[in-house]
Amino acid sequence: MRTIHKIFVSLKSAVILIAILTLLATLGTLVPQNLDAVDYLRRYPSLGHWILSLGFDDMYRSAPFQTCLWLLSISTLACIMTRWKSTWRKLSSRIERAGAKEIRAYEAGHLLPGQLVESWSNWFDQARTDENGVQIALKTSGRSSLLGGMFIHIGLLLILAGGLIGVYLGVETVIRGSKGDLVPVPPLAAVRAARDADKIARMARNIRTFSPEDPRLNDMRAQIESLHEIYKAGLASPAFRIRFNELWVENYQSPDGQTAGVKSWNSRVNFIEGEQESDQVLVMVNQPVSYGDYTFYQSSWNKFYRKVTVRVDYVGDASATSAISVDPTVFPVTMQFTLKEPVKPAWAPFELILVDFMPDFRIINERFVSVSHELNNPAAMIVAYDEGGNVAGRAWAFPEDRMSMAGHVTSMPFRFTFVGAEAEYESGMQMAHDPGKPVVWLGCILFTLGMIMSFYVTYRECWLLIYPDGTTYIAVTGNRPARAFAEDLAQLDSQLTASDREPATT
Amino acid sequence: MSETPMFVFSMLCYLLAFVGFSANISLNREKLYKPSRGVAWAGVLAALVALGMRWYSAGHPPLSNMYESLVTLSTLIALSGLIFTARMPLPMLEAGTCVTSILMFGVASVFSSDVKPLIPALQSYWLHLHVSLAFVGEALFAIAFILSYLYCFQKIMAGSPDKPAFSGIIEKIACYLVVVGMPLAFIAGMSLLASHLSRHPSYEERWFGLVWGVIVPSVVTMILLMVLTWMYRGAVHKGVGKWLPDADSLDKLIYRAIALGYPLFTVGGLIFGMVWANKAWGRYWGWDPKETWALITFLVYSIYLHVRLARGWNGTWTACLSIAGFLVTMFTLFGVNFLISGLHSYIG
Repeated sequence: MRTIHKIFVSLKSAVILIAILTLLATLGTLVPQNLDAVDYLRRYPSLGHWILSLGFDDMYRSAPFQTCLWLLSISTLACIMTRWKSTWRKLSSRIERAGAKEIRAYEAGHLLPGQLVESWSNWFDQARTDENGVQIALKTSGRSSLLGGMFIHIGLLLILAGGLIGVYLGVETVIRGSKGDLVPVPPLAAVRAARDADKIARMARNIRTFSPEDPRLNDMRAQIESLHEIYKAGLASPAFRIRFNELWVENYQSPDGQTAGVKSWNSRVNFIEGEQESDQVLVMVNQPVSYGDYTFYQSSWNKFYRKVTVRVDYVGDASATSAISVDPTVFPVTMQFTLKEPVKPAWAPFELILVDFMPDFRIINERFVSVSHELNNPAAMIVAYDEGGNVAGRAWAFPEDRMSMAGHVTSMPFRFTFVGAEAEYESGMQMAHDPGKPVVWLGCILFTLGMIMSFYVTYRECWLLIYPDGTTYIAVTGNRPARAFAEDLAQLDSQLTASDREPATT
Repeated sequence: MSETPMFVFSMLCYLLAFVGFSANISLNREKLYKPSRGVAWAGVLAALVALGMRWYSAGHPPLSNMYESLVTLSTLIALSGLIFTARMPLPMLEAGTCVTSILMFGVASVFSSDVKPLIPALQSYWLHLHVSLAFVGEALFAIAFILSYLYCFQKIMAGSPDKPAFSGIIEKIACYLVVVGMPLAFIAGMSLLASHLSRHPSYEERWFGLVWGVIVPSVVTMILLMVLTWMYRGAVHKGVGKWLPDADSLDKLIYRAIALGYPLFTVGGLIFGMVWANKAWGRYWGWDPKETWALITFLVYSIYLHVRLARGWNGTWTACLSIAGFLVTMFTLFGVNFLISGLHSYIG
């Protein structure tokens, strides 16, 4: 037991733990986190297995990292307990424990050359006479500095404790909603169940990669299902609901009137709990709002286009032409699509679906992507299904001036030209509950105070020794190098030496 | 009015001050010290005015992108160097801060200096507190780095006869690695950055600026300094003895710079960052690469303080730790932005 205590109190252990933590944290930034097992095996053919078995795919929740944090917490606690004794002794009975020999050994000290002023005792806080008849007097300043180290370590411990509380009891998720949406917010237990289900599901995926028949998978499946049930029950009877009343994005304007980037995105919402409805509140970036057990942060936004209008022309030269009969005189036709919703126009024997819409279409690495939310280069993909539900043709719709591109990728007897799209906003709000936060903030305050006290407050001990033969010795020491106290020593000398004027008293 | 001419003027002042300090040391002309210091102050004041102009024109403090961060840090390093030596003249340190500031400005010139409006997450007074305080801490770490470099340089020049043979040799090797390795590491880092930027379409031809404005002059200066130091090693030996304090005092100065910088960096870089992240993203810590590397910086300097204060280590090994700390600081500033993507990616 004593050996274990010794190990934890040892500074060497603390330094080693900090060094290991540094190394693991570094690895955590270099190894991509939270990918699936197959991705690690593909990216790191020789190291993938090691990364997965050591848990470095989720470094900051891995056993080595968490163990290191726990050990550091224990070491910090041991350090606090050990330091407390010596700090308390220094604070409470410094003069009783100091001897004339120790004081004479301080670097900044010398014999008082002149006569000691009569009122010297006014200048000192405490005095005593030792067993040899030497009078010892002490004046201290900056005593708070002695507590600095304690505060730093208690602060660190609280930060670690708050972090652990957050890991085990905190939840964090994102809710999204568009104008008019009423989004249920499940109770904490349900959100925790969803979080745990996600964790188990990820573990299960990794296990399945190595051994698809692993018997643990059945248990995991059962656990996930039961956790999902809890979450579904939470959604069915939510703690409260959020109604998204208004979402808007403000843009910077350049001098020529063009938009020059997003200035802010904002949501105006109501919280509805049973029959009660809160006042409308504004959630902005950097201005979170708390309700119930949660705090809501405006963390993202999305502009999307659900309704797209296209003009349809009959071209009649595509592969599907022979199979259908169309009255060409009805064209051109303007029609509005709603994303993913089938439409059955009277002029075609197909059911048409707008399967994808990209407002700023690009082909990057052979993939079709949208590079912004603005209608800079819109592209809509329309798929036609026949009565049997089979794909009868596909077509891309572009704006009029870019329709030349469409011919290459269209297999329908119609040409779809993009006319317009209605922008809708979706608000993404981070929803968090972390009971460890107050502990962390308290830790941060103590840590900061501790650093100020340790590094910026000078602790000084001014000593006076009066020997029975009348010899006097003065010394100054503290938490700075002796050279830093040269001035204080000179000042002490002048104040204690009898001269024409009476020395200053405090 | 653009602030660029003021920055250029400021850099010319630093260059002139560097020449002045170098002449002060190498020609043993004490009269040159004060004028050089005056010129360095003029450079700092010009840079501060330029930063003020940029703040006024942009409507936000110059801390929101890589260009602004680097010119601010460059100014803070020069300013910290001058304040740090206000009571104790150290021309070698002052010359070092001038060079560091010039190099940092050279790197800054690679990035776009266009004034861009702040993205929503950055519109917070925490931007001022978090970044500015962290930068003051980093500027002091830079001072500790230069002093540590000078410590190693002095060790090489002075030798270490009091040490037992084996540990003395190991220390000397460490000192050589620092003195020769650091400039090489800087050049290698900058070459890596230039190669990275050359593949980035938005940097077009800008990386040429890095090659011709920073890498080539650094290589030439380094070779010149090494040759001159070797040729005139006797004079350099004398100069080091005269212009640098003894090893113990240098070690204490390194500690002082770190003891000043560590609380500022911790409060500004970590704690204020946590408060801001909590306000903007709903969690105070997310293991984002920038956050993690700031924590790594904090941990490295924590190791330094623990081994120095509690275990009584000092000298070459703590100087090496201080150098490692500054390298980590620089990686947090540059490397993370270019090599690892995360929530702080907008800074690039």
